[in-house]
Amino acid sequence: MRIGTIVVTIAALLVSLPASASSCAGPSSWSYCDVGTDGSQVDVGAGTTTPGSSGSSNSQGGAGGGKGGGGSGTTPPAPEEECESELCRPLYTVATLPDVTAEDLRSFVPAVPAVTGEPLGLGVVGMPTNLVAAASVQLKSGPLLGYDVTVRFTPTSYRFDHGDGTSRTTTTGGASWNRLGLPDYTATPTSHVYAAAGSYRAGVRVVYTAAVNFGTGTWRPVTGTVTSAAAFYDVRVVEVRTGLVQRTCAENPPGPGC
Amino acid sequence: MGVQRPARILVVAVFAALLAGCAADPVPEQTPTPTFSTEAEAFAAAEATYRAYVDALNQVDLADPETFESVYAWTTGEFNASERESLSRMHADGWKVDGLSIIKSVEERGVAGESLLACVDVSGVTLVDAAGASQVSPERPSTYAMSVKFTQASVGTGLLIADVTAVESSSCG
Repeated sequence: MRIGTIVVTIAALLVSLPASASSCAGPSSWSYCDVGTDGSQVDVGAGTTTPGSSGSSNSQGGAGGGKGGGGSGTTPPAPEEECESELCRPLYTVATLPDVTAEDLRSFVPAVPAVTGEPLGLGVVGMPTNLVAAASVQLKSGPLLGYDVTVRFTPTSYRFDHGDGTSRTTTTGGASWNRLGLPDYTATPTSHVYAAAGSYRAGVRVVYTAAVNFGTGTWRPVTGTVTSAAAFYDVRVVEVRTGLVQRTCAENPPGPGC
Repeated sequence: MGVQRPARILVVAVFAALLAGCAADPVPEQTPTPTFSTEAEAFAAAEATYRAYVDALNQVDLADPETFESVYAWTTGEFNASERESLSRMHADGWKVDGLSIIKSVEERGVAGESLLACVDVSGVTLVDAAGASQVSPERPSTYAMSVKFTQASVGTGLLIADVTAVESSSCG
């Protein structure tokens, strides 16, 4: 038995197994893994990097600081500029901007969507009720991780909670039957069929992807998504025993059932 | 009989001493018990483990978490936790990965069976988010030099990956 080798091996293992500092898990290798020296540096966690430190310790991949597998690594050093605002850190000639995750954007709140539906405020049991949500790209400015930034939210998907225990996520906010060129009461990507009469409170949230501009003119992507609060829309679902009509009584007063 | 009884007691005593000796040494998880008889065998097991892991990564379909299981099966400890977190996050965010990570070379580095250095070409791998925007950093190199560390296991190749770190190396092109 080579006891000497085993002892040395144990010692080496114990020495060389710190918390994985700049680990490169598979998904990180797909986006970016920072190249480090061999397993001996310490990461700064919490989704930020320390400006001015040597390039090798800014990794976001893997267990140490990894909040998301898709974080980008260090940016190329910003061109050296005359810096007169009090935000400058004159001790460092190279400013490395932090990688931002969705959790860092807690204080930036994107707008709720505008929600409407057809028939307006109403639904018919067993027939599709069309819900339509609208959201747009938003820019919000404010402080983030010690910098003054502008955050851009881009809607990427919509979550419709129908108020009856079901929900659906779509990439479109939907459109009216008229705009879609469909007859009323047909199914759309954002419609829902209520099975029972009653009053329901539907809620719609927007899932945004975000990007941050630190004033360099580049939009740096943010890891993770930000979901807005819900916009509520009340639907009263009724049973209809008579046939459907093309126009409401308001549009066509002498119509059937009016 | 008179001669054998003391001999038997002696044998029992020796056994007891041996067993007591074994029980007295607590065996920490990292202590490698030598399961490979040669360095070549150890290195072969390490290489096979790493190749199986990269194969598993190449099979990952971010929309189907069942495909993540083989990646997890080759990893252990914090590194396993890190894989779980990254893959779950990408899955939840609706990302898509395509293309293969290709191992260009594997060489010994450090103690055989405990670590190795691999050159991995990832230039063919694309990664997009739910909106279709590429999530590949412009700084991603075409080839990573990966320092891979292993711990011993009782199944499979006898090794599991404990860590993978991208390092600077002139041996990768």
